[in-house]
Amino acid sequence: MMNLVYTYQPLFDYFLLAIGYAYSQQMVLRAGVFSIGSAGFACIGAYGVAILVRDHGMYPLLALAIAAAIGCVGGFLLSIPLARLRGVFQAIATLAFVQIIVSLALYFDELTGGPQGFNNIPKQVQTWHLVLAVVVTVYFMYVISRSSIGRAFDALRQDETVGATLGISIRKYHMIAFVLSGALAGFFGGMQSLYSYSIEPEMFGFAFLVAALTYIILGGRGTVTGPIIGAAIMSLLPELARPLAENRQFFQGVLMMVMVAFMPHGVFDGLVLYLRKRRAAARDKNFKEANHAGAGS
Amino acid sequence: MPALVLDKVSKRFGGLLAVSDVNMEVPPGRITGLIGPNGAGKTTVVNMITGLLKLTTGSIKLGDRDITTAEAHEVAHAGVSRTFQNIRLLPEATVLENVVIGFHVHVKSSLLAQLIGLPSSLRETPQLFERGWELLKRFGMQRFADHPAGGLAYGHQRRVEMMRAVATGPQILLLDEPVAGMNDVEASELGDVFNELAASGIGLLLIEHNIRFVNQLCQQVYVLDSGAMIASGAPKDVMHNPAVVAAYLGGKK
Amino acid sequence: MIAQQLVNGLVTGSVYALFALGFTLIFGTFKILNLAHAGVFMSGAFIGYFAVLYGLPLWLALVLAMVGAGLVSYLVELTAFATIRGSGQIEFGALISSIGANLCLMSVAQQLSNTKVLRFPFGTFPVRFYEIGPVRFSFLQIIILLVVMVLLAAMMLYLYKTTFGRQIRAVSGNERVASLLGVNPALVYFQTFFISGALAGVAGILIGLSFNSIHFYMGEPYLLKAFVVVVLGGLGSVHGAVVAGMLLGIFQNLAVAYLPSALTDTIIYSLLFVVLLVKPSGLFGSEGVQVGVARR
Repeated sequence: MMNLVYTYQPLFDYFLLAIGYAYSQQMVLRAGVFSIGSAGFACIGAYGVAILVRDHGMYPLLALAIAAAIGCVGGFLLSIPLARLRGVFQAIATLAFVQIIVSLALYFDELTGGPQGFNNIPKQVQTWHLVLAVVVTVYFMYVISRSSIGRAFDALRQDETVGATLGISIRKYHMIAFVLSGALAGFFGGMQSLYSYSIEPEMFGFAFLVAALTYIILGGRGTVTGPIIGAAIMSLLPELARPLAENRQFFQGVLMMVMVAFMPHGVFDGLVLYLRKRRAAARDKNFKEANHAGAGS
Repeated sequence: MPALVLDKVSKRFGGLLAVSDVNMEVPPGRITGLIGPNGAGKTTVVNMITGLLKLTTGSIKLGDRDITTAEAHEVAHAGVSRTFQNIRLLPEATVLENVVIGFHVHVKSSLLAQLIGLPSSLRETPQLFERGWELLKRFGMQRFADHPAGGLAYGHQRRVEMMRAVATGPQILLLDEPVAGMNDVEASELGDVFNELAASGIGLLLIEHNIRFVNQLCQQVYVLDSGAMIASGAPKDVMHNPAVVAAYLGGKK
Repeated sequence: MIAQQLVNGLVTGSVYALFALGFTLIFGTFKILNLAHAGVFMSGAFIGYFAVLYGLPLWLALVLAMVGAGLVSYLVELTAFATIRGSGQIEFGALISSIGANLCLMSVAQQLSNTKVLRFPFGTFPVRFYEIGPVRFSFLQIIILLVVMVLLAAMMLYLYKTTFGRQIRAVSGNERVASLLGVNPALVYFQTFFISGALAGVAGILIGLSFNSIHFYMGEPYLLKAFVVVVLGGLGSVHGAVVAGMLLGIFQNLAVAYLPSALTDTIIYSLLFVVLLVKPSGLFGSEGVQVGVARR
């Protein structure tokens, strides 16, 4: 039994981290912003916390708070130039941002250890810390989702023009989305640092970007549960697909293509929308039958 | 309630003068009509009012407030709402959710409260949904509350857009071809709704092709042709205006 | 010294241009950001490698790489893009789908290569050098420049002197109308993706020869550079891709001689960011970029 826990604990821990990153990615996509820049904030958060805690002996919680704050400010700053772009141009711009951060991390090697990575980070984060962090995050995600912010995001995502004519300031809400996304990525990047002893710039490059995006593609971007489902699928995949373990990437690729073609809203959102349609159809049927009976036609 | 006043408004797209020198007033409590053949520039005028297009010349005022350069969301906050020619509902949302989004301008809780879940924000959401429900009852659409908005019949979709626009609590409501594609019964039902809205003090601008409908409802009608105002006045006068007749019978409708 | 770097840069740049060309062709025509282009590039290198390993002469391997990569590219279109055409949100969906296709291609390559770096057998390409003034050309560099020039010229001809170019424009504008006018959209898709892939495939085998290393993730750095080239040159612009590709190659070679590569990358991507802000349509692009909801 303990063996089982030992084997799967790292999986569970990375699943929890994945949830954090998934929410970071979701924030911007939910508001209709095609940003894939969470990797950049995660990198800043990770290195910031690692340097502050290992080299300056800072209290981890304070370092994490600083990481989140930098993520906020960074998100805000990034939102300004990105307000002039839409669609794939936003994607490319944020991709450029990620590359800039990664190459800066490689360049300032005295500070960051460069391509060899930053090692010997004191392990301050255990599983229960991650669980706590995720629970708190889910609380915030839920609260925000149910509020006018969540509704404004949904409106802007589906039809920006309509949202604007209903009084939603696109600039303001896109900025909020960026700030939240940056804060989440920065914080969980810091958590990853304090969990995994060492980090290196490539951890926060293209592969990270694709992973964060995949969580949302699989799970859905309109609900609080979606990203958790997406992260779960991606984390469980190599385990469930043991025989495919070597070909895991292939399977992941096929999954992405299939999801986009047949469930573009993701597993969870797709389910929610499908159930909604079913219930609506049932209600319509009942209404017609009731009318029929009443009118006696 | 203030009136919406357009003064010498024009719009040039490169070499094309889409709208030229339009003067118009939409007074509160009345239904004003804006008619004209296809391509006359009616929707361009609406887009200029609602902040989607820059004016080349002229000004637009709502009472004392100049909204000539106001951004779309600012125009909404000022009290101007619209419906769209090609219905634009939020496809993934339910009918009720579509209507509730219309209450955005009335949201009282602060951003901070919403971000951290303070009671003021937590209380507000069910309140807004309750208000939305009331609006659905008023329009007779309760049974569609949880229907996905995209799956409704055309006439019902128009009602949802109407409810959403009314939810903003506007002072001026711009209706861009609200009864297009409807039969007379449906149109007449909607017409009653318009009269109700006007009676409550809202100034309505009705952009329509259906001349009979416009004549029934409007006290004042403006006629646009190729971007220029060719007539304005009471419906029966405007309808007999030779320029108007020519514009319509000139094969453009 | 500078002259040498310039020449090296020109050669690197011409490969960048070749890669970016296929990429920008698909984007300009179908508004799709095809990230599987990296995989197609890599497949050209792999096909070429296995052809040589099989004993085929290099020139034939090159041709096979070209044709093979073209077909791989079309396969990507069939599996990743054709399946989602017709639904809304083609931008987002296509990008994700192309990432998926790329993962599949890389996975296959990884299996084929056993996760090892493959190298051409010794003697595949004659190692000869020529000196012209202060500059030293390798035979390979000359061949690369020649191949690229020939392909570019052929491509320009095909795009501008035949009806194909017009057909592409018709289909990219409105597929249904185009088919009503007698254009066969399926044929256009095939041609566009095939040509795009063929160009990438040639670039792949040329790079494979240049560095004598072929591995399943070799496409990624070129893809990232391609973004820079394509935005700088203007998304969809053929001239732009060529000019920007050359410029990038030259800049990179000059910079790397004097600066650490990480800093060079920082500069290049910062440039990309700035261009997106200031003139997203790039040097040669005419396409107006939508800027969201604002008074226009």
